[in-house]
Amino acid sequence: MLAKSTLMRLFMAAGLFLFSNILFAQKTVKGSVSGPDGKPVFGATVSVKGSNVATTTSADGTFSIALPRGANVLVFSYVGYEVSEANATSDNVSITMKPQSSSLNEVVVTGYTAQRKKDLTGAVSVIKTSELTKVASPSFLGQLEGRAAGVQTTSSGSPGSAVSVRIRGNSSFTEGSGDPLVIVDGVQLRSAFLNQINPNDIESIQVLKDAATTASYGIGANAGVIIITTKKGKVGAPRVDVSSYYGLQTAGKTYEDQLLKTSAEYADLMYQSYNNAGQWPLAATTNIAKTYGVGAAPVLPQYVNPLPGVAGGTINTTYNYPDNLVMKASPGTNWWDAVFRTNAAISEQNVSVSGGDATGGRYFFSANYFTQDGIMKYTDYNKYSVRGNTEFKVKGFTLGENLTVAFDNAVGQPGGNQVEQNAITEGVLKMQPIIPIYDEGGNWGGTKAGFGNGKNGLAKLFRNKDNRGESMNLFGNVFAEVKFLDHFTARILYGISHGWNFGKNYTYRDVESNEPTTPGFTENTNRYLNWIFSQQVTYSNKFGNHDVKLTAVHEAKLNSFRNTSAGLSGYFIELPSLFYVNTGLGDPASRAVNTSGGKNNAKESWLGRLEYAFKGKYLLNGTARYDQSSNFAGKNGQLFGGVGAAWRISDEGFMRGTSWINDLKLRAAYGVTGNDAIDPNSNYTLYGGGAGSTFYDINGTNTSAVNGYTVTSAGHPVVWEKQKQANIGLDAVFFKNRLDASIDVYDRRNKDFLFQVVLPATFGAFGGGAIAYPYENLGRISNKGIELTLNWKSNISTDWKYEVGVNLTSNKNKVDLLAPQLGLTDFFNPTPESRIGPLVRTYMGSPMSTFYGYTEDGIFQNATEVAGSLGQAGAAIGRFRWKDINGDKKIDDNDKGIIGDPNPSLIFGLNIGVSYKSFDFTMFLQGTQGNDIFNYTKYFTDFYGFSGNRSNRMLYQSWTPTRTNAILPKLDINDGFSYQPSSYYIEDGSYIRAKVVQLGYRFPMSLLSKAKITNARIYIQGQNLFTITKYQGIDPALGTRNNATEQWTGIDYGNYPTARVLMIGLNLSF
Amino acid sequence: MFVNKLTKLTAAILIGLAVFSCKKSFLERLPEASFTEGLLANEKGVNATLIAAYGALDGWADNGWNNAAGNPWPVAGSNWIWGSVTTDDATPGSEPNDQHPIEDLNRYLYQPDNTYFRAKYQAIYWGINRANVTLKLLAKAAGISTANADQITAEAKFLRAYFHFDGYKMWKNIPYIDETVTDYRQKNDVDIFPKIEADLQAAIAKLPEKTSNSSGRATKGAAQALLARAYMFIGKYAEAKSLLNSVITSNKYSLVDNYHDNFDASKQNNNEIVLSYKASVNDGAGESANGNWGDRLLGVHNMPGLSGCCGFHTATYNLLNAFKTDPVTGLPMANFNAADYNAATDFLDPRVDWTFARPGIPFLDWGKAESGWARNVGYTGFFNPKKTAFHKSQYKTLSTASGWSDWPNAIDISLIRYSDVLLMAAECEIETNGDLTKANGFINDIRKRAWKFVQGEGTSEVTISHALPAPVAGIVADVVNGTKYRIGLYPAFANQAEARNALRFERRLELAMEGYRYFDLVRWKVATTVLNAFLAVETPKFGCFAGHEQFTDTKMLYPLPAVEIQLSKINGEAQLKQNPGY
Repeated sequence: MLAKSTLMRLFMAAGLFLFSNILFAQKTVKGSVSGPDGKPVFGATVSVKGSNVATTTSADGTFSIALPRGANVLVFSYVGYEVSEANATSDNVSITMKPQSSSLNEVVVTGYTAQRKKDLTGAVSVIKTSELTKVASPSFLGQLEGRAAGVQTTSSGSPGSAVSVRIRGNSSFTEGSGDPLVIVDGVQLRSAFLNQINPNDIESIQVLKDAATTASYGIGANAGVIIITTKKGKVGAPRVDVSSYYGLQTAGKTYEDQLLKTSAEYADLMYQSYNNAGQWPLAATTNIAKTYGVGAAPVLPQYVNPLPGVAGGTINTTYNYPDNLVMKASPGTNWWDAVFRTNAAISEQNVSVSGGDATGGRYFFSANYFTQDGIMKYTDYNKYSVRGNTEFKVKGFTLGENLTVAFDNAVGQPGGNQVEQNAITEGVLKMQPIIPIYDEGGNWGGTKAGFGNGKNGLAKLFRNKDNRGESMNLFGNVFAEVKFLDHFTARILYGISHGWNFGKNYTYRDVESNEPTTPGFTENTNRYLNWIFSQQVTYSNKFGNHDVKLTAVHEAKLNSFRNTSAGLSGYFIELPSLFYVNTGLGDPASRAVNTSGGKNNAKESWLGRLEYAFKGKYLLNGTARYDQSSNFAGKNGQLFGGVGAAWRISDEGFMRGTSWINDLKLRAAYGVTGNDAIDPNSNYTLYGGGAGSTFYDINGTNTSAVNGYTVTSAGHPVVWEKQKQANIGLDAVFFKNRLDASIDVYDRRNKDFLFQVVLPATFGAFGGGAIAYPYENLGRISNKGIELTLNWKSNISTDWKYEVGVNLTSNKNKVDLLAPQLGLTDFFNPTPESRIGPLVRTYMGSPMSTFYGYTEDGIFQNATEVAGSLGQAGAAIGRFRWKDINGDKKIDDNDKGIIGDPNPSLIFGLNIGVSYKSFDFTMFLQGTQGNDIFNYTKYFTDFYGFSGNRSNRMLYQSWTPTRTNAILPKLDINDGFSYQPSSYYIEDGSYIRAKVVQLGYRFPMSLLSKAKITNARIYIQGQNLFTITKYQGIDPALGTRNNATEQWTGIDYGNYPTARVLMIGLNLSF
Repeated sequence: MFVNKLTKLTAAILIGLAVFSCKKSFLERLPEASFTEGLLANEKGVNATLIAAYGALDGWADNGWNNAAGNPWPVAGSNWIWGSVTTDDATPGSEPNDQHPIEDLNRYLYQPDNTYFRAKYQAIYWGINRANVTLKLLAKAAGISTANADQITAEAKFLRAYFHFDGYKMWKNIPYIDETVTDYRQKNDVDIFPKIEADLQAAIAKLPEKTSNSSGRATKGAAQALLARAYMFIGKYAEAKSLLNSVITSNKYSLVDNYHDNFDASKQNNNEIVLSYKASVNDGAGESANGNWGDRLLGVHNMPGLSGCCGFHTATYNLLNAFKTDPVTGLPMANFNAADYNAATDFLDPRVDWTFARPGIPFLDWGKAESGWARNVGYTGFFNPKKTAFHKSQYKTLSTASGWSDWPNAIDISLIRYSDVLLMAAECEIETNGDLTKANGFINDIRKRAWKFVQGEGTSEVTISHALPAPVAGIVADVVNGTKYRIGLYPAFANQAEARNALRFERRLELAMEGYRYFDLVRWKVATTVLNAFLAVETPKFGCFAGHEQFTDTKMLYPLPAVEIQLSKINGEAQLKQNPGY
């Protein structure tokens, strides 16, 4: 909370300014400002035309202003209202302000300049921040989902996790190239910083999608540009805004309904699996028999013991943990319940103080605290941020700065999100229900002795609770601006972003596990330091019918990164306060490896931009930009550019009579942008290695190794990846500004797209210490699509108002050409871990990154069908039959092909708002259509991937001689075939989700004015209340892995579920 | 006029901004934390790349998991999967559906998309590339004497040949990659044997003989032995014979007294080791990644005090029975597999208890092995491998706890042993209709060493080995740990067939579970007969053989990995052709 004294000082400062003005005043005018509803408008700016005298209206809408000699026109302005003027002919001036006629007058920042939306020639989505902040999320990216045509976001439900944003589809393969550029107040921010921007500080978000606008950013703008303008103080009395919410989160859908619940069911499944394979009854001494029963008709033992020679049915009297866990086998453990919790808290507190005086001093300060408990136990995320900006006019110069300091910390899912090994922290999918959370002695239960390699998920989370990662980020800029020679403005800006991340991880030995982890500690630190220095000159003039703006910019950027990592094990005492990489605390002989690395990249750019309008009807702009990036050593430079044109048809004479059309504009744009997101050193052949990857004990000492090095990266010169994009759009406003519509058709074509082609093994890249594949300029990718945005806003009566907004994007992605010089017709995407071979492959003529595997063609029902299996490996009655795709009457690897497409054909958002007097209601739905998901979790639950839990499907819908319409093959412990990548894993990922349902109440002014409160609103909200989908996994809105990836998408490795949130919130201004 | 004005304006602005333009060096960035080629193009650098190439002998680097390659065991330098699990010697071990790909291989369900084929294939070329990197860098390096350059070249070519031959044994039809290849989508339609031969001949010409400090390096003897092995693989016994004779007459190698010393991490720098992967632990590499990671699954499942992992690579009853010896002669028995070994009545070759665990018999110094140490008796039995086990006294000094397993250790992977050299030499004499007495002598040398020590009571480091009594009438007999041991020498061979039988049996016993068996059966062209006969008897004993296919002659070559065939396509046409029959 801001100190009271500071507030007092701010008030006094504002008062002094007013006082000094009064001294020279000749005449004082009083008056009042009201809105169309007759209610007073608080905080409106009243200024005297032709002077720098201004004031703001007080809570009752009144003002008093001293007119300098000779001045007699007052100008009234207020956000959301049209600017109006009035003659101060009397001592009392009262006006009624009109709401802004349409969104067309909004000012849109398009790169280095700002335009009214009506003057745009490109495709730009302007996102209302008031709608965004309705979604409880620490990041504006998390709030963007479904809000703008062409913009798709995905994020893990894990607290504080990164969000991946794609604009108009995927178009590129190199890491980071799919992320749009994000420019905050003129400074580009790394995606890792984006969580650190306080969403409440954002004044506006603009998404630049067409190339005529993105061409201003040239380098790295292939994936679109998001421009964020943060809030600044407004001229007027100090204003304090407080917002706060508190909510409770619960998983929307769980695995509980899919997994076997009881030990008896699991034992039944095991019995059938062994029996069908001819392996039952088992020797009584085997773990399987001891666990699931002995004999022809096995009976589940009451207890399962790990020690050899102990019968399953009795408690071993020599209980000795952990060598002898005594575990009660039945009735069965619900591992979901063990790992997840309900009603986990989420809350945010935000306060800002802002204001400014008419002579040019403006300030804005804010503080934010966000905290979220994970729905997964012992996980959380906390963020603290403060921000300040001020702006002053000094001797003709405008000087200002912005600074955000953000600190966050988190305990996340151990091992990370969407990591296959971890399928929801190994507890939920990989633990048999037969294993209890605690053994009979009250210690952790686990897989020790023959229950597979699953981990007790609760134990894992509990042990992980002190492994808190932290990050501290600073970003901001200082700038100076001066106007000279009437039409020129020069601006110079220095911006910096600095990120520091610290991670520590102590792994305790999970003694209850079959394969316990070695205890040990690692800590790592990394640092990002990026700066930008830019200079800009703008010439702006209007003569006759010509309106000209000319901008020239020079900028230099440096991005640098450095990390260090160290480890130690053999701790003398295992205590969090002792977890340091200090050999005095652990075993010096463990000599764990220290590593460090770094990267940097420099860019220099020149930009010229022309904006021209004739009679305000014919709009034209053009950009040329020359970029140099150190990533392309030797061939650094590349010219980019774009042109855009628009015709405001509604201003033409022949349109005058068409009163139902208020505005109509046709736009066309074309431009070229680039991508330099490759490894900064990809041109060099690099050598390196490390103690564990290239060193070797050539001297046979058993305990030391000699330094060895090898090629780690095969250098290969490449050129920029370029993107040409054409866009045609129509903006229209109809029916007395009630309907706002935009439609855009685009065609994006990437040329020379960059990719590290997976080469045959003969290249020599393999496993640990792998050699990075060389980059190649590979071919062409296109994204063609159409975007539609409609907003309808109307009043039924004075009390009843409503609005409906829809955005739809249909996109078609295709790889048009693969490098003919390489003779490539397809390539394997570097897939994430897969135990069943490659899952993702890209073919020329098809969309990027399609799923790859066999097409399942039912189940072999009898010996005749098996005999006709065309040589399919492992063909047997009751097993999957693969389809002969290439028709060569032979089932082999050539019958694998595209089995699914993760790219959605349609993404959409629907927003409905209704208000009645002081009540307002919002519902926001969003979703995707036509995308497939590779449900990899079925590898664990529907086949024999590890000895974890199994699905109900597997027990109740597997083939038997009497269940011939089964969906899964016959239970058979020896079945090593059915789990192969096939269409069985592919599911429709389409969904519609109720992202936000909110009901608010605004307290009446009559009640508030006494307390000097200008606005107070409370609301209740449900987030992710329901999801309509056919997808069987827990969440079709798949999260990304720890980092967004361009090379594969749509694989469900055990997604962190999205929480359903019920919350209550308050907004207050005074 | 208007345009003219704009031009002037633009020029003026650009000149103004030019004041701020950067120095050229701003855009020139050297790679951070990596060597560029120029920095290593010298003797030190080239030697370092050679070290890295040696490091690839185990098929694996790094402690990384979850990478594209998968896991270390399919690529293990010991070839325990490819040379042993796929034979009558061993089963996969563990329990059902733990590592499906191994189970499929064990059941002779050889599928081109079995992910392990690709892993092994990748590992081979990964090693080859490291050797090629050395040669490429050497060509650019300055300041290296001719002699040193020659030796570096010879060592690199030796390694390149070693890796290629490892692949040749598996698939035969694979491309040869040398330092001149730039398009890696190579055809496999030419026999690469001459290139393996050429590289090894070049290595033999320039490599020095073994010295007391050669340790892990390639020597002339190693190159000769490897080329001999390669010749024998394609039936060129005469060529092999002279090479082996050179190795033997060099007098640089000898059999160690205690057979087990070859598998004891602390005693492997001995004269019997011709070439090995020198494993090292606790040396500063993360999770002791320089240990023998490929063998990390070979731990005993329920060994007291160790993590409960693994239990892979267990021996078959067939192998146990093969160690049975004649109650009179102490020689292997022709009908060894007619009945399972019976401790009360049967005699055993002492090497059996250096090869795998038997319940009730001490396990090195870990105490008596118990049936409960096994992971799943009904599935794969309890004969856990012993040659890859470290001593209890070496726990955490020559072993390491790594991730979920306590097993990675410093036991070197022996790649060429002198006993193998002697057996190869004997085989060459036999197959070339040469000197059968000489062959008999070599085989009996092996047996004379085998009769010196047996597994002792195993309560401490000192009692791991028990010295057997001196031979009486060419036979050593003793009863230790309740086991009747008996081993005798072969009398003179009557004919080639008898000698061949003796040689082949001795080879199986001496090198049991060391990754040789499959390739021996293949080159002897007896794999189909031997393996199907084995399956018929063994299948009812272990669940892991249920649902197996018959072995066929087609399977004498493994299938090329399906993904690699896909990756070799140029204009849609695969350059790599699948082996016949798949």
